[in-house]
Amino acid sequence: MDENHGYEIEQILQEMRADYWRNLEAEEEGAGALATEYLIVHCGNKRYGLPASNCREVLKLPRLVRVPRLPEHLCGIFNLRGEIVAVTDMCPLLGLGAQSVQNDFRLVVVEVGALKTALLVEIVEGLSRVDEEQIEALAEGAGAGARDLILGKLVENEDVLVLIDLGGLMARPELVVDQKQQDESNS
Amino acid sequence: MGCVPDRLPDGLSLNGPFREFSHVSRMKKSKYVDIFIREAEEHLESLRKGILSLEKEGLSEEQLNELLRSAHTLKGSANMVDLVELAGVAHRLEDLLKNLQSGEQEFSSDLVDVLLVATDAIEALMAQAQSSGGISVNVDTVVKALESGTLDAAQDEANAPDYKGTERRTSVRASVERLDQLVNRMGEILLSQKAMTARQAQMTTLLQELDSSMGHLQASDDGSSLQSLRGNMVALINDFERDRLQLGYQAEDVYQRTMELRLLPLATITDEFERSLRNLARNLKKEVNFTVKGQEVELDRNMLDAVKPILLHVLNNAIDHGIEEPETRVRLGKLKAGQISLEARYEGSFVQLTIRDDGQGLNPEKIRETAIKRGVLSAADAAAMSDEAVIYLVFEPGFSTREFITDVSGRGVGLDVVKSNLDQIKGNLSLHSEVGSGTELLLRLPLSMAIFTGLLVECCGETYVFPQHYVAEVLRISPRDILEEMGREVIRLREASIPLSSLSRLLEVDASTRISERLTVLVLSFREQSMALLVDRTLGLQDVVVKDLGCQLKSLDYFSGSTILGDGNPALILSVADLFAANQDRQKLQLLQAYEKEQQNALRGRVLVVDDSITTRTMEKNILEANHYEVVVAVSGFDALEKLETARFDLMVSDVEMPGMTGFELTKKVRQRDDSRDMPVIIVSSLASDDDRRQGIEAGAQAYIVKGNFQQGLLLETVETLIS
Repeated sequence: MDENHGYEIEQILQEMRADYWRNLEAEEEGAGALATEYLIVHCGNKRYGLPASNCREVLKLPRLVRVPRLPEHLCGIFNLRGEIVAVTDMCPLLGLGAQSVQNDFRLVVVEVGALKTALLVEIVEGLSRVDEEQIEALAEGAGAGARDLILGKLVENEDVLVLIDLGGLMARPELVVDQKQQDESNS
Repeated sequence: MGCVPDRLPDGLSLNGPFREFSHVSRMKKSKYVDIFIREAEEHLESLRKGILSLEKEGLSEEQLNELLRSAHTLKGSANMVDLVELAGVAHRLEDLLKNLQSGEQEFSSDLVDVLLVATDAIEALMAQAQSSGGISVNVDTVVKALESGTLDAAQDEANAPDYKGTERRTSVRASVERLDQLVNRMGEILLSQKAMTARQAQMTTLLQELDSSMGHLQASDDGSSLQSLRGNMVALINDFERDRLQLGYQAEDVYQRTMELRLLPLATITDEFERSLRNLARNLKKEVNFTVKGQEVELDRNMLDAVKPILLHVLNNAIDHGIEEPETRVRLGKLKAGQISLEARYEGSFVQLTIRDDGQGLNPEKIRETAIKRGVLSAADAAAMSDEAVIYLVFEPGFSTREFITDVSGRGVGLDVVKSNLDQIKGNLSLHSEVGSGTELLLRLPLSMAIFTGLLVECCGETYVFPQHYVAEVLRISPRDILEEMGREVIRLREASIPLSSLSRLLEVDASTRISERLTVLVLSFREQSMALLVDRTLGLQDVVVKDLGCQLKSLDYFSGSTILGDGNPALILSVADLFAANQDRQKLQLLQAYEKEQQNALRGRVLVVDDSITTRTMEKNILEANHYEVVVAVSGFDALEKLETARFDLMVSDVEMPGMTGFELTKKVRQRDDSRDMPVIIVSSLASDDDRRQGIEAGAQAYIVKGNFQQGLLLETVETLIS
């Protein structure tokens, strides 16, 4: 008896939960079809938009612990509430020179799938809604080698905002370091 | 032993297409089955992952080795708990993988299906073992599929195991007694905390009183009430301190006890060894007397899980390869039964396990031959290796000294399991053997894998952690203790030469190693090798909790993980195994060269330059610094005397005409001071008369240079002459 009862309650709760998520998704789709929120940041004196849905938090720059023998786009590791997170400088991945770390820099913790990293940025401007229709493709030949990391650009008041495809960025193989695996395949 | 069914030597007793599983129900359902299941789950998982990645990424030797290890261990462990059918499937799986490795079996996606079906069957057999129920698994079909390397589509359906995965175990068993202790301590902690809360309330009240008294005091009071308030306050603070310390103590205690919850006695795994070793010996027609000492020694549960296959393989090997046939033993004058012992004891925060047998020992010559034959190393390398080093080759993948395959420890996936598991648990291993009289294997294990004592060191501004049990000692040496030996830098320690490297060079964190007069060197030991490693300084010992390196850093050369230090910053944990590997093929005479260069640079001397003219000062400074002198400038005689108070100089260069005190006066004063009496002084002046020169010499200067014919060569030459 009791078990049956418990089963019913569980089922009801499950249905309620399913309803809730359905509604939530419908709501998101309604709004998201037109405009998406971006976190506007500066890196190497240029403005970039990071899809806000993948941004978790903005941090003041903690002490970064250098990890020897890493490629230049990985600047070190820090302790994020007990979890070790690596810091990524996206400039070299975009084909630009690495940023030289200043004390007043910020970290934007971003998460795509199971991968989490902290992007090193000069300034965090804030959130901005970007109308999908206003997004233009990059000019022919621009962003060579890094076009897969760029969603498009937005031109406002002669200022260019480059929108970053965090999914593409995080899917770059050089973002994950697996030296032991590499050594084996080399040998 | 009556309940144990007789087995065929190869561990197979498969008959009938749908054989009811019976062993577990026949024998009392053993607690070992639970332990086995836990272990098997991991192997099953890694088998599945590995098989799938074979399909995705194609064949790789390393991946196949991993798969072979898992299948081999599954087979061995299943045999130990009498899960004969499971062992049979694992055995066939291993055969198939072996054929794949040798190229006898071609790789195809059909084959992947077969391999996966085998893992399904293993999983189903595991479920069966756990429930001792009557789920039937068509073992024969699976075995046939594994033997032929193809799946018969008609039988495919019959094969699908009706089984939904076992719940993954992450729990440990704890005695009621220990849990009670823990709960009691927890209660006391809560009491201490309540006491602190009450004290805090008292303090707050007192503070309010203090504030109102302050008001009165300003009006009239003589301050006595304030004094007494203050006294109360101090007493309260002392009480508070005591409570806090109490709380800290309790918390520490709880922590220790919680840690102990993870510990289990060695007996948990060794109990089952005895029976299985006896069975094994019987199958091989040998006699063995197996003894265990220190069964009560406790280890972290995870550690036990990792150590079990190690012990199993070593013990199996001892019987299979070590112990001779009874007749041979009698002929050799040994006891008829081979003696194998396992001994465990605590050594500080380590457990030392010793496995000894009195068998035929490892024959270095035979090992050399086999290693060359199997392509483990070249004939020249083998000849160059010492006998002591050669015996460690038995840990190399693909190595086995036995010519024929047995079900026990053959096929070259035996001892290398030991090696990879040891790396995983940061254990240290040493092997001793004497031909004809036996083999001894020492395993040194930290009590826990999650927490260990680390030696914190600094190198180029970062803190790194060495597992303490690899650090034999910390030495302070001088660069003159560094010797060159056949193109390697070494230091001498107790009549032995130890190769020396620098951590910063190995990690490539600093191209220009600074070599100062006092060097801190760690002596590391790993599998009986030693290595001296230069670090900037040591920061002491600390218990560290091991963390991974985060999702972005899957694996790093030289680092096994990270930890979070007291200041909240992460620190990298060094992999001593990797450092030793790197040390083999790098590091030439860099340290001595760096030292020589440093000698040329830094050791040329400290010079005090005194001149009121900034131009002259800067010019002299630049010339001297460009030639590797350390320069301090002073703007006047008084300034110079002050600088002399705080530091020692090898030489002074001074102007004559300066406000307040002339260079001559300064030189005289310098001569009167005890610690600068013998310091050479060079006067550089625009006064060019003989009288001026004479005055300079009288004051005590060693040289007089006239600014008019000032040349940098002359100044340098003079400085060089006077300093050396």
